Amino acid sequence: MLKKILIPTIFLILAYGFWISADFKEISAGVAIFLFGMISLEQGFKAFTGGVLEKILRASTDRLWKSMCFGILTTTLTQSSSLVSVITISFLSAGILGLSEGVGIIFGANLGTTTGAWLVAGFGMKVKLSAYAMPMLVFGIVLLLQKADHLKGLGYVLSGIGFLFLGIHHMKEGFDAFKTSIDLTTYALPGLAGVFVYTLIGLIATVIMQSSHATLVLIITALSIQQITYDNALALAIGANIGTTITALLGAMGANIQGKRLAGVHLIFNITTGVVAIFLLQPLAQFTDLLSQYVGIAADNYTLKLAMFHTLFNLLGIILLIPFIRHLVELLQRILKEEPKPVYAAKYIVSATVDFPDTAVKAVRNETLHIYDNAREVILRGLGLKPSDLHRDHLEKSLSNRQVVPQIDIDALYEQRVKKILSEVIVFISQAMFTWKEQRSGDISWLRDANRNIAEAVKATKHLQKNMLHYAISNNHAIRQEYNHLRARVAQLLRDLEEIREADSEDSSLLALDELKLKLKELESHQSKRLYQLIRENSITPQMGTSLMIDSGYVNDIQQCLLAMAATLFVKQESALTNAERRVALDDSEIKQVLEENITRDQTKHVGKLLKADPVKSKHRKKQSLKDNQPLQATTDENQASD
Amino acid sequence: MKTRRLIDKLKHFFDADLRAQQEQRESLKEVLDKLKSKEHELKDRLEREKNPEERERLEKKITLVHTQRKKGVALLKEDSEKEKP
Repeated sequence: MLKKILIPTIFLILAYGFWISADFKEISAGVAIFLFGMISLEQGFKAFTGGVLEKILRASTDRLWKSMCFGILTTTLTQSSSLVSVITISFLSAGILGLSEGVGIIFGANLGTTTGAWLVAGFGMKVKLSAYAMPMLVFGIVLLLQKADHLKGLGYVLSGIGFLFLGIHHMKEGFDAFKTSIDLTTYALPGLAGVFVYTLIGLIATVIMQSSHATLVLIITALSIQQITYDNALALAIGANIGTTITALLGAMGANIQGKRLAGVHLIFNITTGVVAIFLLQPLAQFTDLLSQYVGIAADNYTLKLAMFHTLFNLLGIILLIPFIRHLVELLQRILKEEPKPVYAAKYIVSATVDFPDTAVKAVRNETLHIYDNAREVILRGLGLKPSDLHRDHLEKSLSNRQVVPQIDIDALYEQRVKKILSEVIVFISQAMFTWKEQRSGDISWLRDANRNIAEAVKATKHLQKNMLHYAISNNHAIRQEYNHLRARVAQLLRDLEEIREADSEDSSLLALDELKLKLKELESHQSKRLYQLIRENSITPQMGTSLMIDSGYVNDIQQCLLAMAATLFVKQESALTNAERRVALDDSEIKQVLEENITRDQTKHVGKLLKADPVKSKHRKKQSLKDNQPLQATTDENQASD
Repeated sequence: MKTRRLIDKLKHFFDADLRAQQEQRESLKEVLDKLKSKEHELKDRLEREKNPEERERLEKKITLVHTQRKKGVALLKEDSEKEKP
């Protein structure tokens, strides 16, 4: 209801104001242009940094002081604490950042945002800003028309600053003209009542404009031409500081519980700082005077003194609250309790991250890893193995001693543990695909393929399950052994992949996976060779042989899918290098070539040894050896032909 | 000369495709460098190794890395030819 009448009421008040005063119209236009500049600047930083901000955030927030410095620096550079807090919330939601580090960033951002007041008071009020605004707008708009993303981003930043300057200029002009017709200082309220009323005005103005920066510029401009008293300006600044939490609160609506907790910390910090500043207003103002005098700010330079006050009371808030960060985090964890989620639900993808490409990619990656963990269990159980079997030595031997293979409904397990999360990931990706730059969409498309590969690996396990359950406990020793060998091959791959996942960056590079591919190709080749031998020796029936051949194909499918998934999920290096490695990585036919080279070398060595050992019989043995190895070569050729 | 370099830099800044191509080539070079040093390291280890099984494993690894390098060099050559006006 309130939402419905709020906008029309604001419109009516503004329209009435425009009707009775042209100066009010100019001031409002100034605020509107300024806000548009802020939006443009934010947009620009999002595009221009291309994830740089997110990369720095990830690298530099492992300690509280680092998080705080990051908050101060980035907010100073971007002049938008909202952007920094919304990115932080999205990081928290994606599980990339801890709550304590997030709190550090928010504290830092609160201090960083005060630099805006210094810039406007020290520079904006002394220089004719419109003279700078015009060329910036022209250059900015020309760059905006460019195709390249970084140029477009730069265009947004330049035109954003241009609009900010233009907005400040119009506010100044409006107040200057306003001064001749009406004197706002007559509405000045002294004492505590004045403090409360003006704090409330500052709060409401910031909530409406959703930018404390805009409110502060408005206060500084009004103060610079003495339209408001210094005391009331201080109260307005306190109100603006409390009101600014609205952006974080709105941002947290789409976030998970961690994001909501961080917005809670933001609210607590700003309210506490505001309340302390209200009650310590006089001592703080006196201290501001003293410090201003010390750094050489003139006693009547109220705008700079206001900037000093703004910085001081935010600093005071930080000093007061730093010792209680841990308690604050604990308190919020108690108040905002995590709702018990179904065990097999998405953990990392939340709507708050969709606007930040790097964070969203990271969230999808984490979620895909989560899906893989679930799928790995489904695959193992589908093959009648326990998760603990993954780390068992001599697994094949242990399998041959088992008389029973536990049977599970792999479809039901897949629906419960994989498909539901997978569907959520697909929905998230499809939302993201519409909004992101092409480059990032590339990353997401690899992750989409990784998800598909995981699902296909589970499906192939399902196909394998039927014969495997039958033959793994067969009375025929040979076929039982072969099926146990297939099971062990999958388990071994899962174990190797775990090692790659845990390894450092070099061992987990995409090219290192080629070694694994070669190993699997060798195993496949040996098994094929054995298959023909077993049929020849009548150890298995031709029907068994056919089943084994088809199921061996399913095992290959599982392996291919898991390797393709690992190439995306377990590679730990920057994307430019990964792309280059993707090009260099060997495909199936190249792996086969390497395998053949290895076989030829082994044969040559073998023959060489024979020659050394007995030169007389060597000729006959050489022929025999080459004959013996023929099936292996034939198998490789057959596989190549079947591909 | 300075103006020419400035123009080249500007061209580089404004031409996103050219920049992407150059970055791609640089990454490929980096990967090839890594492979080269890996191959050398493996060959050194092979020379020192006495155990036949371990030698066989190393030989297989060397063949693999060498094939990767060969493919990478061919790709780099292909890229350089594409970039030529």
